[in-house]
Amino acid sequence: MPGPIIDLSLYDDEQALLAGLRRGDPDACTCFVKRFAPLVYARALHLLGDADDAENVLQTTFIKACAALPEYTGAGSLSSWLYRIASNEGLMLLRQKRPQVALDAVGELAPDDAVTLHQTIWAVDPARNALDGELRREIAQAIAELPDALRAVIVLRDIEQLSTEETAERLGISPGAVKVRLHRARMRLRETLARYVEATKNE
Amino acid sequence: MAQHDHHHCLDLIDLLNDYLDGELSAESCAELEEHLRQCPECEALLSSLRQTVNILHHFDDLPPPLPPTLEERLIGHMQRHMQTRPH
Repeated sequence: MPGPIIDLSLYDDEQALLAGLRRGDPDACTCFVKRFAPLVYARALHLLGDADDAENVLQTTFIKACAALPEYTGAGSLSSWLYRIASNEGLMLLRQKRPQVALDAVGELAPDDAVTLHQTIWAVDPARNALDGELRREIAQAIAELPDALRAVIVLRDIEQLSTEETAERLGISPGAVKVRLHRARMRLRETLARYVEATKNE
Repeated sequence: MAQHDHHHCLDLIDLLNDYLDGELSAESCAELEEHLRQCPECEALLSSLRQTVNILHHFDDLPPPLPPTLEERLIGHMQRHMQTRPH
């Protein structure tokens, strides 16, 4: 059953949204979710590669954000604050669930097989094609299949676009380790994309 | 020619991401660019790697909406939570 129709523009303004949330207005709560939850969920899904885990992170993030609202000073944007909570929750869950793959261990990754240089001429417009449903699913699948340690780096570094240093700090590894993992992850994703581009070229 | 030695290409592959991220020293940059001018394979690899990174940068520009039942659950959960917490 569809939910109540709510005028989302009512809370377009962040200050109005914050005030509504602090008052406990249910419409403010709905607007908060509709506006920010898709990206929080998408990022949690990239990081954890599992829908149940991503839902868990989504719920915890929003509940924690509501609980912390009285202390939120409004420095920086509301979205950055929320995504930071989500990213911390995601990393914490990843560590809890997969202690066998320590995100901060160095040298736990087997060296990649000889680099495959899949040659193909790409005529891809990233901005347009990232929105293409099929390509999006291919990339999401390829990210989900990366080992945890590589996936965490590619999500923080390339999707969230944190710096090398900030990624290193969040994962508790050295900047050098970030670079090594980023290189491996990007090369693997490049291979997936190369195969996709070649397959669709011949259709 | 040294630049077309396969091992030299493999050495430089490790630098491509730093190059794309602007984290390569001026000296290494110059060496890599010199190689790229002469090696179409590495140039093509760089180009496809650049596009991979661009796609990832844009990947969440328009995240898909939440599955409707998940959205309902989350809103319900939060509204209950807000009613029970002290104001």
